[in-house]
Amino acid sequence: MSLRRATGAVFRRELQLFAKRKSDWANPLVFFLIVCALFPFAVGSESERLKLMGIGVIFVGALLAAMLSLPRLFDEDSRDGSLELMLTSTEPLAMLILARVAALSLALGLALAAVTPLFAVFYSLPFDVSAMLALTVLMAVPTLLLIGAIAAALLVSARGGAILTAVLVLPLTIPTLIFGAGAALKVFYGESPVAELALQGAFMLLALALCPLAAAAALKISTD
Amino acid sequence: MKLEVNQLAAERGGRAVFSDVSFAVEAGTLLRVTGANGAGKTTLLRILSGLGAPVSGSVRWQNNDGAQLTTGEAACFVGHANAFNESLSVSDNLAYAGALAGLEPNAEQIVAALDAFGVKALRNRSFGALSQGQKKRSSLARMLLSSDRGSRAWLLDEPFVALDVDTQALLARLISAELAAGALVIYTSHQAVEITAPVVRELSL
Repeated sequence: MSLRRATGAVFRRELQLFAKRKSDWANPLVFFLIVCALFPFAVGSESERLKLMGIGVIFVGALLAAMLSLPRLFDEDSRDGSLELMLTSTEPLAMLILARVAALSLALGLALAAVTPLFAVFYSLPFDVSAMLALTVLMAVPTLLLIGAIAAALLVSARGGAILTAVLVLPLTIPTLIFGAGAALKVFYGESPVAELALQGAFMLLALALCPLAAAAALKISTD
Repeated sequence: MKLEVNQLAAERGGRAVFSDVSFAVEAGTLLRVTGANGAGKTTLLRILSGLGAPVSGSVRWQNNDGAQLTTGEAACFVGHANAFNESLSVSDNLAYAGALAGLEPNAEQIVAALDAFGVKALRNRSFGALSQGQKKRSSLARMLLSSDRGSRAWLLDEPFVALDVDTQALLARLISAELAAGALVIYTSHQAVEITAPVVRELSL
């Protein structure tokens, strides 16, 4: 009962902060927009090439935009001391971290997925492809944030932590990148994306099972 | 409530801070930890509250029946940092702190805790808009969230910093009341503030 109350409080607080500070969600979205808008200028307007590239660019852009939110997981809490509340809680740290990542994934994942079909227009992608892209972005954001929580926990309040976090986390998201963009490519070629979706889902569940525990251990080490 | 510390040794950044610290304190005891800057007062409190790990030695918390308690259940730590988020309101911050501490503070308890520190009127203000002293007072209010007075040990790291003289006296009175209710208070302080307690002890590092 008190576990539910504690995780609920963490979840609610994350959403409250997200709603209170517009830069928290505006920054990743604007960044995503700029990345998606730049590529057509550089690549040219030949439509077949643009479409194929667009799938990859949009997916990578969404991952990079989600990366921007990783420092907010623990850095601010470490500065103002409220991380101590989580660390001295009566409830398991891994569950609290999971609640936090879940709230951030929900808010950020929905926001990024919602604008994905919009940005797909830049690449004149058909609607079914952009809908599939939105779905795979929605699945990729939690995976990235779960893996990223480990790196963010290790590098909490470290100098240059944001760059190091990106260097550590992005290579680990390659499987979700392959299957996520792959599913949209399959739809583009008119084939069934079920296998890619299943593998991406499996990867997300694996991250869900392992990452909170690893992040809790990392956070304990780095704040000791 | 009882705390037993055995042969505790700690290091910071690879350098030994203190070693072979042993003591046992019981309910109603006020323990003041003294020592020069860098003697390891904060390190000791962080280890007692479970935030840090000792190099060797053990810390054991027990309730009055002799049953083992986890650190989270036994202690309430208030450190240098206020542990409140600047963007949220004072009462939201307090409710969050209570929920993580395994408590169930309702709205009246939150108002009562803030009232005890004379900051009831600030409860809906955003924490970032308060002055240093007001911040410290609202942050200290989280010690009073437990409805079961005296059930948690207070671990206070320099609690009197940033407080005016009246509030220092107020905090001293609240500590005395908590001790009378059977709690255990361990604190560090550079200021000499008079606190009445059933048992007063000093640990010099």
